[in-house]
Amino acid sequence: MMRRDLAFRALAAVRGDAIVVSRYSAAFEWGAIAPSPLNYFGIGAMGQCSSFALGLALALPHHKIIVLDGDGSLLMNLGSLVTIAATGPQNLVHFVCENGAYEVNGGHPIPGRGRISFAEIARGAGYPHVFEFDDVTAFGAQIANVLALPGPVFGTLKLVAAGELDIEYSETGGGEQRRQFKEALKPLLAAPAR
Amino acid sequence: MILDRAERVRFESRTPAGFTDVLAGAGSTAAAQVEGLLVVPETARGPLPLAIMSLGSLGFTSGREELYAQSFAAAGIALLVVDSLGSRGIGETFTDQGRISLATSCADALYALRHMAGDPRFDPHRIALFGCSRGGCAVVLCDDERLANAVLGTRARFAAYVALYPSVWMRWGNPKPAPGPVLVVLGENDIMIPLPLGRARAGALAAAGTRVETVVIEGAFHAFDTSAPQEFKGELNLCDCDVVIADDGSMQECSSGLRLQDDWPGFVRGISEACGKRGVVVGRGPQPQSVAVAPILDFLGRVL
Repeated sequence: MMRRDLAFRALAAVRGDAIVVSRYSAAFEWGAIAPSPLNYFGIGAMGQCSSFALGLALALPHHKIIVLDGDGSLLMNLGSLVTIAATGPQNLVHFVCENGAYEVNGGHPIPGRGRISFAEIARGAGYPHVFEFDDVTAFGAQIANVLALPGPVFGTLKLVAAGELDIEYSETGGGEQRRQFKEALKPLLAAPAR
Repeated sequence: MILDRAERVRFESRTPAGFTDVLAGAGSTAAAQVEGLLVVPETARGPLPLAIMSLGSLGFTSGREELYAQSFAAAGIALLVVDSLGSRGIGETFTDQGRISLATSCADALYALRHMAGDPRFDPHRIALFGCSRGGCAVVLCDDERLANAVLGTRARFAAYVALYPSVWMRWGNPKPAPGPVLVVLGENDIMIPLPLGRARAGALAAAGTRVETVVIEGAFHAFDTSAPQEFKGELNLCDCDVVIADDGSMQECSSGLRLQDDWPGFVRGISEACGKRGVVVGRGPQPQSVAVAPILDFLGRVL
C-alpha cells in the first residue's frame, strides 16, 4: 500500500503539461503537491471527474489528460468506464485512488471494500491497458511508461488511508481556480492539431 | 580483445520467416547450425550466471559485444554472443532488415537457451537474454510464454531480459510475457526509438504483468554504446511502422495492412515503402560508450 502524497509526488515529477482532473481528497492533496492552472478540481460533483476528463480528452486529443479519481467517487459513476473505453481516447490516463473509504466526509467504508477489483472492472469495460500499483517505488519506476501508452489507460493506486486533510474548498472549488483553468485552456484549444 | 579468446559454441536452431513457424515447433522449418562466441570469466567458480546476447543490426562491427563481454566477465557473468548473422553468411542487417527475420533472431535466442541450460558450467536458473537495437527487439519479443512453450516446453526459461534501445517496429498484439523481469534502456534523443514510443512499449509489457525497469540515457541517440562516434546516416528508419504479431504468430503492419506471407524480404520491402523513412543518427556520444554498463550490471546483480 502506498501513501497518496508519495504516489502523487512521483506522478508530479513526470506530469509535464498534462491536465489533471481530480476530486475531493485527491484534489486537496494534488493541489498542494502540484499546483498548476492545468489542474481541474471536480469538487461538488462527486463521481463526475472521469466524465469531465473524457470531455477534455475528446476536445484536446493531442494533450495528455490524467484523472485522479476516488474509489467512492468512481462507484457513483461506474458507467463512465464503459463510455471511456468505448470512446477510446488515446490521451486519457485514469487513476483511481483506492483507500476503501469515503475519506472526505468521515472515512465511511465504500461498499465491497477489500472485495472488489477496480482493475478487473476496467478490464471488463474494455480499457486496453490496466495496472495496479501498491508500491510507490514500482509506481515511480513505471509511471513515465504508463503515461506514454496510448490510452485509455487505467490504474488503481492502492493507498493507505491519509491523515487529516487540510480541506479548503474555496481554493480547490472556487471561482478563481476555475477562471485560471479556463484561461490556461484557451491557448490549448486554439493551438493547431499536432 | 576478450572475444578473440572466446570459446566457439555450436547449436541447432531454425531460420523461420515468421513467428507462425516458431510457434509450430521444431519440425516446421529445416534445422540450421548456429555459432556463438562464449566468454567465461576465468576466476569465477561454480555454476555461473550467463547472459545470451542477440546481435544487433550492425553485427560484430558495432564494438558492443567486446564491451559487454569484458564488463560481464569482470562482474562474474559469462556471455554467449549468438551470431545469427555470420552463421547465415550475413555481415549486417543495418542496410537491409530483410536479410534475416526477427523470428530467426528469436529462434536463435531460445534455441541457445535450450542448449546452454544443459551446460553444467552455468546455472540454468540464472540465464538472461540481452540485446541491443534489433537484438533488443528480439529480447522483448522473446519475452513471450507462447514462444517459450513452443521451443523450450517446460525445460527452461530466461531468468531476466535486458533490452537496449529495442526496435519498436514489431510487437506482440496481445503480450503474454514469460516470468522474469525486464530492463529497458533507452536513449533520450534516439530518433529510431523515439522515447515516448520506447516508453509505451515498456508500459505495454508492464500492463501485461512484467516487472519492467526503465533507464533513460541522457542526451543519447541510437546505439550510444557502439565504438564508432555519433554519425548521421541515410539508412532506413522503420520507427513509424507498427507490425503486430497475432496470437497465432501471423503478422500485419497496421498502417498499410501488409501481411507477412512466408516472404520475409518481400514483407520488409513492402513495409519499408509503406511506412519507412530515411535518416538515422547512430553511435557513441555524448556520454562514454560504457554508459549503460553500470545500470545493466546493477540489474543483473539483483535479478540473477
